[in-house]
Amino acid sequence: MAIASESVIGASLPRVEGHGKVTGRARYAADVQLPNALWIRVLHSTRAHARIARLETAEAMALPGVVQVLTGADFKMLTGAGIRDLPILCRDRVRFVGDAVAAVAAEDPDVAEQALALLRVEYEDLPAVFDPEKALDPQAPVLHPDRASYQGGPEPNPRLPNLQSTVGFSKGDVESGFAEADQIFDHTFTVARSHQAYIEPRACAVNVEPDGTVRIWSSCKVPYKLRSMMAELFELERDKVVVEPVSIGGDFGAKGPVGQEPLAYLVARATGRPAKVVRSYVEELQAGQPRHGASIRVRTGVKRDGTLVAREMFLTMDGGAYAGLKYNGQLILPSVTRGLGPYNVPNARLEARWVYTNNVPCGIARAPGQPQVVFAGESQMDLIARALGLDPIDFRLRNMVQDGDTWPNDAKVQGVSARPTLQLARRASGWNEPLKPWRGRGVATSERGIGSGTSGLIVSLHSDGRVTAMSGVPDIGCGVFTILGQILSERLNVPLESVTVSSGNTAQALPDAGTGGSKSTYSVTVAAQAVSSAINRELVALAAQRLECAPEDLEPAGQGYQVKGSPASNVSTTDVIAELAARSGGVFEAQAPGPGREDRAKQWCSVACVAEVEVDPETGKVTPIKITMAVDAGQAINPRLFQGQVEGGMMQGLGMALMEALPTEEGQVTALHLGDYKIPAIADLPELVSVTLEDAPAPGPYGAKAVGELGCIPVAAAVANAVEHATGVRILSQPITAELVRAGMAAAGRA
Amino acid sequence: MIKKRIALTVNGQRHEVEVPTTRTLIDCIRYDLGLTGSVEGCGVGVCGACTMLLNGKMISSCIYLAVMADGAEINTIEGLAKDGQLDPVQQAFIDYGGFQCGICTSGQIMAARALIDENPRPTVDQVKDWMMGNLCRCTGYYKILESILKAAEAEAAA
Repeated sequence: MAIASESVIGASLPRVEGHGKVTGRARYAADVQLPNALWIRVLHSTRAHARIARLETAEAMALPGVVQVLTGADFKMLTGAGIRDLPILCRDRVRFVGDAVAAVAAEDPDVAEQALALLRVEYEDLPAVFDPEKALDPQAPVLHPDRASYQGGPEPNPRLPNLQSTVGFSKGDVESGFAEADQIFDHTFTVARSHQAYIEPRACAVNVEPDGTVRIWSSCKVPYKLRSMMAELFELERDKVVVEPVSIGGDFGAKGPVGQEPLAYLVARATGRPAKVVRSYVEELQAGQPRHGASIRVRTGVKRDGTLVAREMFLTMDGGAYAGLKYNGQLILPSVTRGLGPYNVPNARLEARWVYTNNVPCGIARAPGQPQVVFAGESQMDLIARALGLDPIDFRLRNMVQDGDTWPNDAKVQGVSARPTLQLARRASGWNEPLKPWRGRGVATSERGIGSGTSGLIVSLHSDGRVTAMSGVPDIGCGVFTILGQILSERLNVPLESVTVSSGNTAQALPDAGTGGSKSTYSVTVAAQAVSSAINRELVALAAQRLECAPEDLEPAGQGYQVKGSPASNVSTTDVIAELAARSGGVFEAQAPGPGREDRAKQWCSVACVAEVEVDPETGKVTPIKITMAVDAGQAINPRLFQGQVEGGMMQGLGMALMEALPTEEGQVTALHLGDYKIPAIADLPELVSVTLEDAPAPGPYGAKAVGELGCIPVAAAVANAVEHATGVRILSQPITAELVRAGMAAAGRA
Repeated sequence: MIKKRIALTVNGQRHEVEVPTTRTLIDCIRYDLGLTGSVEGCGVGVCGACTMLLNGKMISSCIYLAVMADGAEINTIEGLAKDGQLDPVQQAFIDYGGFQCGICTSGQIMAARALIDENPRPTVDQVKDWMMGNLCRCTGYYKILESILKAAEAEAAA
């Protein structure tokens, strides 16, 4: 019997969930239709900071079709990830325009919407603060007077009650470093708040079944965390809460926190009917969890020859009304500590702080905090290179870390390919090629770790030779099921067609940490390897038995085994699987929990971007011509999926660079829809070139690292640098709008 | 709340349904008729996730009232595959990676189908121009563009 072997690792196989997604059959949370379900709509605050003096619900209750009205009185508890400071519905006080005040459950979504207008709220306005610097003033209104009673978060600072959190580090002696410098550069950058702009508004449906099971369908990407949070909030047995898998229509960081599930649960519990919430996009923009805006000061001291001697960064992020949308127990975005770049700098300091204001609360967005600080740090690297008359890439390379050095935060550098990645970007972008008038090129670079987290996997072998795998990882579109099928097919040495991967609910599958931190590929690979090794031991033993030889006399041959030196004596893996399953009563099952958070891979993933832009000298409009992205994200298990991650990140980065801003006026988000909040459309697509660094150190046997967040990080800085190259005008704020560039050119006498 | 009885022919099948006059067509198709392949994203007609055909014309069904569609012929993503055979546009989106999370995909495919029906061999610029009203946050559009061009190519060769 001839057995062919062909590796499926490195093949651009189509997505396993593809058919459902192109036919409209894929099921998202809003698609879940439960018989007799009630529809919930939420009333949001119109005030930035106010006491709720009175909330009159009788008129709304009287509307035919309205079944229940919920208010803050129905929720004694607060929610939140890193700290419990988020009301599910506000009890006595609203803290931003968009805070949830009440909810109506009705027979029909249009009736629920109509009933919102019949809720009468009387507010007593309180002094509000919208600027994070002013919020730190001792006279500023205190947003959370009861903060000390909240669960979680760092110790509050009694002198700075609106300070959410701080993080920082110091290395060497910064003052004497600056004293040594021939030149000191000092710039302040601002980065606008931006929105993840997933296309699917968050939705959930909850049913309380007769046996007390609370069944939840939700666009939440951390189903096991949702399960524990619901169990804790409502004192339910954890196993009585079952979160069902649904497809998630885009996340980009936003869909981790508990959303409207508590509202739907209370309605379902009180009425005995399923309840459903589908948010509108207005709500997503007004009361979402956008990316933090920031003000960032960077000071850098250099020697005349371009050697960095001291660097410091001070940044303030507007955290908005609540801090509970940040997962980190210290309420920080740890990636901001990468702001000083992958550079050798003997004396360094960084201080970051997050502040409560009466603006929309900010949360997690793809590479949280990092594009902001990279915009500042990498813009300034270019300003320095230009002032010293050095090529921006040569200047970076001169100072770049390699293994054996220390990072600016004094940690030892290990497993970093920053240099070859930047060099690859230089080669792939045509860095030194001549440019047309009004065009410029700019570069920026950064790096990110490989996330890790529990990713339990159950693999079952069946007596017909099939292999099924069940994972609890939700499908946010990154292709993790496809990757998992490829890895299992390779590890178990069976045809791809015989492997089926499915997602289970939280009662069927093993715990999964959810998606985030670009960790899915790495985490499922670790789990799949562990399960496969356990299964393969059984398969080898059984194959040896069948071929009447010792296990060590077997060798793999195609998709099967043969006796060493006797190719005629062979058996296919599928046959052995079938027999193992039959001997185990029809199904042989093996499982592995996947890595823990502490099992992080030590390697880093570098990224370097070269942007080529054209600036319209009349209007200042910046048009991206070509974006080159070099990524050290390891070997692609599925190159098409891999490239899709990079390209999607690049376009999000371009959005942040050129158009995305979620502005507020007196605490009111002024972008009400996706026409106001502009994200890139297909017409904005420039030439995208993504290249991968080969043979860099990587954790797993396939050399896969982490790609999900890389693409979006360096684009805005590269674009800012390209704009200066094209026009001589430096834009210190993001997004880089035509108005800013036009004004800059006018001020410089160039327009 | 005023209600009205309307008749819609969706993917060749006739439905009669009573809806509030405020009901949008997307909500009617999704929640009254149970066809959830079309999606409401932005709710104001700019993201294209709710794209469907009404009497052969492409519309944003989130800004179209159900009562205005009374008597109309409507085509949604659910009716695109014929006898279990995917439309070439659907197949190309699978083959060339034209989606990730999939939430905008039915709208992208319906819009691309309408484009190729009108212009069987669109250029890159024509695709970009036509598809400008279909936002996607995952792919960065490169693979959507490729999928549409390949679908047109495959149909022209067939």
